[in-house]
Amino acid sequence: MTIDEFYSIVKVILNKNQQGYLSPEKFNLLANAAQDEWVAYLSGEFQQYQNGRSQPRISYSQNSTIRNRLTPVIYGYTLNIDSTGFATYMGDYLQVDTMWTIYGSNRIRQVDQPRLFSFINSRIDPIATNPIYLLEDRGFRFYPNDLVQAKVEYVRNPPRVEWAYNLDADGRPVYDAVNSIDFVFYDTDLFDIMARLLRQMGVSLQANEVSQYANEIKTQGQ
Amino acid sequence: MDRYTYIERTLRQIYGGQPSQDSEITINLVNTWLNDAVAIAAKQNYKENLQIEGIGYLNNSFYTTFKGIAITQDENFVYKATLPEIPLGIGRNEAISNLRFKNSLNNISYDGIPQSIAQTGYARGQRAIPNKIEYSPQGEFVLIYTPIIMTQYTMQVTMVSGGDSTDLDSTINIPSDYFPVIVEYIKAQLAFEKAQPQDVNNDGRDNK
Repeated sequence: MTIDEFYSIVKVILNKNQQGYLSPEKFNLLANAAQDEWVAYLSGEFQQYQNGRSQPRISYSQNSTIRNRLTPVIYGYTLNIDSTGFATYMGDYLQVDTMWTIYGSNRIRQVDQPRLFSFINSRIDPIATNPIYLLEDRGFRFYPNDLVQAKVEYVRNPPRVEWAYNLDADGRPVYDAVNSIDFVFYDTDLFDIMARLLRQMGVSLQANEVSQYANEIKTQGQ
Repeated sequence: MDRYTYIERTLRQIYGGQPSQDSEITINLVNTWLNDAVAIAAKQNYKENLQIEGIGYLNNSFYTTFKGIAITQDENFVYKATLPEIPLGIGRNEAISNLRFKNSLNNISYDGIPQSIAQTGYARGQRAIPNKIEYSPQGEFVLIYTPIIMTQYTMQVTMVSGGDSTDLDSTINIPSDYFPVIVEYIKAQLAFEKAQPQDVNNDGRDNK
């Protein structure tokens, strides 16, 4: 589904209820917000954690169906690690999927700062052969600091979508396919994203029918 | 079965499938429990043999021969070598079947004569036994009492051992009928670890 088709469906739904017009600028803004919300949902919303059970209803990579939904934004990358063991985050970095050594495909485990001392001093799994990494504010910190490179699979922020347009003689926006940017997600997922967009539109227009419709799709599926 | 295969099987049992990237029970950790488990299996074999046949002994399958162990001088007429692992507390011979010495021409001596701790004091005042070398295992060391200059020899020892714990491709040195013993022991230890609540709050206090 192109972004033009997506936009057209949204406009049909909004116009069906005569709930108003969604300008291209607003559409682009809300479409990107909606797909960010979709990624956050598939990554596991910690607000759903229960007492003594830190797991949401839908958690990251819970099964192959959920993981498959996120694969369009799971990228591989080779990190360059400096002599202090530091590597800056990728520009579109959201969260790590897996981390590997560059040679031998040995896993590199994520460690939280409070437990760093016990990992560094471990004799059963010395860090020389069982490397680890921390998450810092600007990047990853690896131990030992001589890894030089590491392979990372990570969830990235989805590329920004845009319904690009040119103005016709009457000043009306006309779809520009060349400069538009489509969603990277599968067509079946675009309806979930659409539901989120409509919910935001419903809030924006204070249109209960739009919000209700969107919530039905979100909770019950299409 | 080699160590790595056994450990992988154990991990898959603990994790209900292939362990994930986040798993904290590692191969090295299970490997550290394996030697303890082999010792328990050996002890059970000893007890069962005693019950069934009235003779306390360990089956051959539990034994491993280690070769090329260096000997250093400790005191005058006392030499020291480091055993691959601390001998088990089984039987009068500490689960050491034999201990021999080899020279540079690959000639192997007759077995050394073991001394218990109670005997070392008494034997100190005795004349050395001709053509025999006496030794006493103490912890991970073996003390060798002889006027012969032993540093020119290497030692080889046959003792109860689970095999080479530093080589994950080495075979676990116990017979198959005792595998359930080590399985149950290791499973209990790892399940205990997994059941413990983790301190996820970095609040300056330990979990209670």
